[in-house]
Amino acid sequence: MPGSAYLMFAVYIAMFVLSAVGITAFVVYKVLDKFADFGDTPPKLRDYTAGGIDYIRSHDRVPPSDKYHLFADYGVNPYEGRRHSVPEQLVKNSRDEGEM
Amino acid sequence: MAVICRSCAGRLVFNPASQALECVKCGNSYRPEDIEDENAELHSKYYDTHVYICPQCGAEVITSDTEVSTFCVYCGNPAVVFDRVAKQYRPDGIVPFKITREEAAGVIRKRFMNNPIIPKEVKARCVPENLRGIYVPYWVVNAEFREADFLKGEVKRGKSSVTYYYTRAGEVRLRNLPIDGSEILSDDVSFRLEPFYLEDARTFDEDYLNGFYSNTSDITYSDLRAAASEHCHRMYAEEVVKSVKANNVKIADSLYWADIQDDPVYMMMPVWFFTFRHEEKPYTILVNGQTGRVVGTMPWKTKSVWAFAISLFVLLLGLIGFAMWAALGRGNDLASVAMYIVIAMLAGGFALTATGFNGIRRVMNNLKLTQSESMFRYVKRRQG
Ligand SMILES: [Zn+2]
Ligand SMILES: [Zn+2]
Repeated sequence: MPGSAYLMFAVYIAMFVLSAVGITAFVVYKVLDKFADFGDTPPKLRDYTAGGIDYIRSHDRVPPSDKYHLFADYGVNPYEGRRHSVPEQLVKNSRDEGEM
Repeated sequence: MAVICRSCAGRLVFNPASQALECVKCGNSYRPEDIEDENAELHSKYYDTHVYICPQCGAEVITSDTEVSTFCVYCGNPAVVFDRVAKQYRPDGIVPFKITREEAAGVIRKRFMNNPIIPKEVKARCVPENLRGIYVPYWVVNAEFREADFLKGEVKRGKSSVTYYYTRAGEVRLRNLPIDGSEILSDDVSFRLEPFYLEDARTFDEDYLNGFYSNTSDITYSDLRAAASEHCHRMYAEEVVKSVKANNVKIADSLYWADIQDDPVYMMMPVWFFTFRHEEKPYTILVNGQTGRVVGTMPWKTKSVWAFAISLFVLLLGLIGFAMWAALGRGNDLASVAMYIVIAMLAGGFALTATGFNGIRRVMNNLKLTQSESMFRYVKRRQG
């Protein structure tokens, strides 16, 4: 048998092993997911909002440099400086933390 | 606080099944709202609790009920020490336990039935006596949230795929978002207990606490804001990724902020804790005391799972090898069927590899979270 045939054979074996590993990993994941992992479904945004997301910018297929424009426009806390009433329990907790 | 039966002076315990306080001696029952407040003016703001401290992990365990067996619900240490009577700010509301201790043990055990991978000794630990009911403090908030994301995704172009970039900025208003208000319970876990339905909420009355443990909120306002913005971000990220029409979409960079509106509501939420040790490690499985939702990852029989994986692998390899041999051997119909099998298995194997390994990694992470050291942030508090 010429060398290239051996090489082909080795490539086939490697491919078979890899795909068997892939299928096995998938089945094992499904088994663990079903029998051991409970409640791994996090809450969804729509549980807490009526309208969903209001997009104020939505651009597709932009050049990588657009990242800097994005964060130049939307990179600061829009709620900075807003004052709110803080529940007493939380005020007390901040005080306790300050003392320690 | 009314913990004593009016007709026989027995101890009163809240029963989730009847939603009433029941006397453990004579069985008389009382509605929490019918029991008169002995010192009403003080109760407008504070209520009394007995604080126990676990010498092993430092956690504070609060109970109004001095007769309740007090082992540490967070680390399983059999003895906690009485520390002090403390006045706590009254929460605004409470969602009373609806699921009884037996029902909570039942929903966990239902997961154990026909379950080949959970060790027998772990299954045997799940009896009602090993479950503890805890009122976990939450802040229910209305919030505004803003996030800016720089995303990337792949688009098929002929045989290869091209990476494209996307920008998104958006705002969202959230209503009645529950945020875990205790330091000790990890937010990675507590948010999985959701949803809690606020229709069942009542004005806080400490009579509901009889027979249960509770905790007080020990976070600060900035902790609350940070937790709220993380919670929003998790949910927002899942949505924003879907708004990009490409494959394998990932957020490359993001910034986000939350603003909590005035008057967050301080609420007690019911959670059953099932704590057990397995191979030297403590685990805690949680059950939402209102909905019966089970959260946590059980340890599995490692050897059995490995044996299963190896046999499956050998079987698959044998199957694909045999199909290849059949395909090469002769030039008839069978050969082309065999060739299809080979191609299908190769394609399937490559397609499922990433899902399989990512999934296993996810389950392993969840298992680690269930191990109490990561589920609870223990604080070694100084005694005294
Ligand atoms: Zn009685
Ligand atoms: Zn402890």
